[in-house]
Amino acid sequence: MHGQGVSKGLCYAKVHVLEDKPIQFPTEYASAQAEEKKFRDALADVLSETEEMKERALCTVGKEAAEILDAHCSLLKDEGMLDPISESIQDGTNAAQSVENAMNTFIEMFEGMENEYMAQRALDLKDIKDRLIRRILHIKKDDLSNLSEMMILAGEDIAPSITAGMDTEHLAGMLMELGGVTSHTAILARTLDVPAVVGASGLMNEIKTGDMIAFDGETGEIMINPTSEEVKQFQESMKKQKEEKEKLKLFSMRRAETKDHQQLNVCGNIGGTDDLKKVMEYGADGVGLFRSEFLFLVSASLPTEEQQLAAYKTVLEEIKDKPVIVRTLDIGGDKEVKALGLKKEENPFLGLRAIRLCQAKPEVFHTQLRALLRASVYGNLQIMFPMISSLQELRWAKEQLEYCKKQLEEEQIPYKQNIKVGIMIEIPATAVMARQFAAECDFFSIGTNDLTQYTLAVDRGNDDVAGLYSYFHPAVLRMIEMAIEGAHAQGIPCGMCGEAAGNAYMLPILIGLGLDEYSMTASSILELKQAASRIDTAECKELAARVMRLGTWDEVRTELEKFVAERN
Amino acid sequence: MVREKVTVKAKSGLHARPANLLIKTAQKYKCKVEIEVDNKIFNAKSLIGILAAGIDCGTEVSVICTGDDEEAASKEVVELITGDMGEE
Repeated sequence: MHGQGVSKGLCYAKVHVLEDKPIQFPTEYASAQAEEKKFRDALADVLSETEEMKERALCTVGKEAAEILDAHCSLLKDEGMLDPISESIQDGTNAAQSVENAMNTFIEMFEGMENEYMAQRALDLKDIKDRLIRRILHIKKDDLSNLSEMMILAGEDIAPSITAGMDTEHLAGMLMELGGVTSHTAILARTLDVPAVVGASGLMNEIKTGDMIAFDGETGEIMINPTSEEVKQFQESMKKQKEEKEKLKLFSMRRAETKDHQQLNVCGNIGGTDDLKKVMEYGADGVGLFRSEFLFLVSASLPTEEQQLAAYKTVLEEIKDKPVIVRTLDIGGDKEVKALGLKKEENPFLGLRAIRLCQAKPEVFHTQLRALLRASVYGNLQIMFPMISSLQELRWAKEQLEYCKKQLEEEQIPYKQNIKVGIMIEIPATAVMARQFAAECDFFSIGTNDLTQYTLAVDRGNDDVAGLYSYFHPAVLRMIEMAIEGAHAQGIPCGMCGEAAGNAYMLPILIGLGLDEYSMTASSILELKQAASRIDTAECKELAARVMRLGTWDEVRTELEKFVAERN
Repeated sequence: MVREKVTVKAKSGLHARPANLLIKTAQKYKCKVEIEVDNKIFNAKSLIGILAAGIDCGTEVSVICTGDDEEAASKEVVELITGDMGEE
């Protein structure tokens, strides 16, 4: 069987299949009394569980989620709902079937009301019904928070709500019938550095929990219950790969440096507190990009100052004195944040996103800035503004920061002095005017993904034109060169936090151009350190000068591949 | 038993928040509190019962209270339903 490999690595383990099978209802009926007791016991369990969840939600995800759970509690105490169930039990239907029948009547009624509020209640009822029946029949819900051995997780789709509470220590790999490279699962797998294959059609018909599965997260090949001969072969490949990995692991102990012992700053990109572990394990020099969006995407309401503070503080304290660059909210019409009430835009990448959105909603921006300032006392925090296209925007953002500082002073809340403030270079306009921008901020970080898309006017998510997208394009390289030159002319450092920063072929050019910091996903850190150890700064400079004059990205790429291959 | 005919004033009818308000009020009393619409009787202490009744603004309903504190219950529930129930 075959799928699309989206996260590298070989994997052989037992599989846990996430099932969404219809419940098998028993027909046995003990006695009215016994069935009623089953129902009441289940009800009490589910109610106390829901009350606990509600308390937890109040502290973690917020009021809105807690209100939904509160409604669940009311429903679980509602005689209008419970009485018909008891009546049905008295009439000789067993507990599980009675819950199913009685609640379906309400669910159908609510679904038929064509009213947003009622549709939501129907969903609530379905959820409660499902939990009650599972409790009565002792069907365990997939609990992945505490796995006893290494497991492959497989499903038609693996929802974020399932992976959220998962025991990632015991996660060997992930397999999914649906999805593509950019699916939630693919991104999560790469972040956690576990092998994954998605888009494996027919998968769910072929496997069941407990099967042994071997798969390759690079080629996408999947073997279900392989023969002992196949296992032997596979394990040999795994051993080889492990040795390679071990070799790479040695690099986690030391800082990145070139063959001629020039040290490089290699940092990690993180999207939350989870991926920080890997970044530290691989010996990064800091966090070059902390995407703060996750705080806004996970919950139904906007994160409060306290919630944000807690997240930033966790990262700063974990990583000790190493620098952490937090990028302020980078969100726009392409992502749905209910609490922000954003309009769908015709052209979201050219629309109201990131700093522009913050300008439209200054109160959201202020909350984040206050949380950042307050967090600054816990470590080496730096603040970075995204999507800056004009000096006015940079000046405005800095003014807001000053305003928030003043507020905190008045409230006598401490923050660190001299917090470094930088900008993303991801719009050609900003790269072209790099010198002027560098005079008014403390650092640059080049975001190559957007810089490439804006420089070449290519939407890389669009398959029809994705072939035109490449950060090896000489025009993109020149943008990068301008940004670095502009920064150095004003004596500030210039880093990079796009995908290109972790690309081993791109590395010699970037070293040649004098980039100051390389920030990437955790999974690229070790390979980049290894790649750096094989090349020489003087040779890189020479190469960069030569490559910048080439005409097409094909030519650039060929030249770089030759350079790297000669040194491996 | 106390029985009183009233017209629902709340703009969004007895849905969502007003429905919740109604049952919270009814639950304060010991007596049985029911709402009659179109000859059908619904338990006013049950959110699901009230929601299922699907009572819109302007509907004529009867509030029926039966039990010890029926007078007081009827008075408060009727007052509630004939008010705006916190809706604009």
